[in-house]
Amino acid sequence: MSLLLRMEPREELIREETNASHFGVATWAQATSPSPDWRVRQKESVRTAIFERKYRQILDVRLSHLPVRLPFPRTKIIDRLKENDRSAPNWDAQERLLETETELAFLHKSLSSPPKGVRSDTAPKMRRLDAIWDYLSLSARRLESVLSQRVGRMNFNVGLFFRSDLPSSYLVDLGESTHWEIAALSITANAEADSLVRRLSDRGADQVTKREFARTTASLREIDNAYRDYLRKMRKVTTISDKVLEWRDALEYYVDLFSADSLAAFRVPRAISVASLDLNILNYLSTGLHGALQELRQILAFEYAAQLAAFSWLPSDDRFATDLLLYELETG
Amino acid sequence: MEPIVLLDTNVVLARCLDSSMDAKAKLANEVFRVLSDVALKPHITESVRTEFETKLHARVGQIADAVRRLAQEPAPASQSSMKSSLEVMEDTFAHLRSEATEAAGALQLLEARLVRGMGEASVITPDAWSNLLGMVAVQTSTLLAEIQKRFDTCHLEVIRRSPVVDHEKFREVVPKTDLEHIASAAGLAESKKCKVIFVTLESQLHAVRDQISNLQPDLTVTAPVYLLGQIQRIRGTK
Repeated sequence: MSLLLRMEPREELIREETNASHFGVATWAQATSPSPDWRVRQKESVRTAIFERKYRQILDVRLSHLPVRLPFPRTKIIDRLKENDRSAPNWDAQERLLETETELAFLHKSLSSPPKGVRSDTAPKMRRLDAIWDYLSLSARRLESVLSQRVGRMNFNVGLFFRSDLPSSYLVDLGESTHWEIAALSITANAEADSLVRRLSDRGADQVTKREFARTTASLREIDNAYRDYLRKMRKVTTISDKVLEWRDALEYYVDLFSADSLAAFRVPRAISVASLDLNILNYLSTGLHGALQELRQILAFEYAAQLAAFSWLPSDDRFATDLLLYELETG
Repeated sequence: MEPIVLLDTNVVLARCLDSSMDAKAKLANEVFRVLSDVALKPHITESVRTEFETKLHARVGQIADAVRRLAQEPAPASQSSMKSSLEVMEDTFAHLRSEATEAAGALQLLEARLVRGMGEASVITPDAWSNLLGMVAVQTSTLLAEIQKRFDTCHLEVIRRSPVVDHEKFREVVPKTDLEHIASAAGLAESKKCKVIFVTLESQLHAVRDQISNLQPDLTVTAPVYLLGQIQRIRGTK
C-alpha cells in the first residue's frame, strides 16, 4: 500500500454527492494526556468513542462558532446527524473510514509508549519501524477517504446552491475552502511522510519497500525523534486545516439548520431561501472562514513553497483560467 | 537606501497567466526576473492584495450565480426541437445578458466554458446538461483556488498600510480605481523616507507619472520595460 496520496485533482474525478458528517483531521494525532477514550481497551469501544467524538466536535467546536442559540436541542441534532449518516449511500465508506481511524488510534498509542524490550534487543526497533510504516500507510488511506468525502460534500452543496437563492459567495466560500483544505492535506501528508522515510532510509517514500525501510541503521532514539517530528509538523497544518473545516461546517450547518422548519428537514436536499437566514451571520461566518483560510494559505506558501508551486488544480494554460485573467486585465 | 518596488494589481494578474498565452504575462515575468537579478523583493500594498482577492471573488461569484440561473431553467435541448443546443444556449445567454447587465463579463466567460464543454454535440440531454452545469460550478471555485495559488507562489511581500495616506493630494490626477494604491505608495515613501517604484501595466496611470512624481518626488510610476533602468538610476549605478 502506498504511503503517498494521489496528487492529481480529485474534483474532476469524483462525481459522488454526500451530505455525511466530516471527521476532523488533527485530533487523532495529538499527544494529549490519556482521556477516558484511551483507557478503553476494547477495539469496539474505541471505535464507538471515535464515532461519538465526531459528533461532539460538530456540536462543541464547529457549531460553537454560531453567534446565536441553536434552534433545536443538541442531542436531537446529533441524533439527526447520525441518522442521516447511517442512511447515506456512502455509509459503507464511512464505516471503512471509521475502521481505519480505529486502527490508527491503536497504532498511535503503541508508538506513543516507550518500546518494550532490552536495549540490545533489535526486536523493539523492528516493531517500531513496522508500526511507523503501517501508520503512514493507514494515514494515507485515511486521508484519501477523508478527501473523497470532502469532494462529495462539495458536489452536494452545488446541488443545494442551485435550488436556493443564497448569495453566490456562499458557494464560492465552500468551494474555495474545500479546494485549499484538500491541497493542504495532500501536500503536507506527502511531504512529511517522504521526509520521515528519507530521514530513516535515505530514500523517498515511493522508493522503498516496508522491508527496506526496516533495514535502517538509525537508532531507536533517532527513529522516535523522526516520528515525533513528523507528528509535530502534521499537527501544525492539520490544526489549521481543521479550523477551516470548523468554519465551513458552521456556515453550512447554519444555512441548513436555521432554514429548516423541523429537524426532519435538516440535511435533506431542499429549496432554501435566504429570507429564512440572517445575512449578518452569514457574513460573520464567511469572515471567520476567510481568516482561517488565509492562515492555511500562508503556512503552505512559506513552509511548503516548492510543493505548493508543483500542485495544480488546472494546467497553466487552462482556457477558463486564462480567459478570466485576461478579462480582469482588460477591464482594469 | 534601497528602493521598495511595489507592483500594481495588473502586474500580479499578468504574472498568474501562462506566459505563452499573452504578452502581458511576459512583461510581468520580466518584472520578477529583474527583481530577482537585482536582489530586490516584489512588494504589494494591502490595497492591491485586497483588490486582487475581491475582484476574483466577485467575478467567480457572478459566474456561480449565472450557472445557477441556467440550472433553474430547462436544459437547452428540451426547449425547442427546431434548434440545436448551441442555438438555444445563445438565446438563453442573450436573455441572461438583458437581465444581468452587470454580469456581462462573467456571462462571457461562462458561455465560452459551456460551449467548450458541450463539444461537438448538437443536442445535449437534460442529464448531460445538468452534469455539465454541476461540473462547471465546481470548476469555478477550482479556478479561484488555482489563481490564488499562483498568487501565493509569487511570494509577494504585503506592505501594511501606512498611517499617512493622503488621497486628496492625488485625487485630481490619479484614476479613481488606482487612488488608494498610489496614495498608499506615496504614504510608504513618506513614512519610510525611501524611494518607492510603482510598476504598472496601465497606460492611464503611466500617462500621469510626471504629475504623481511632482506631488511625491520619492514615488516613481513606471512600466515593466523601464523597471531595471529606474532601479539603476535610484541606486546610482546608471
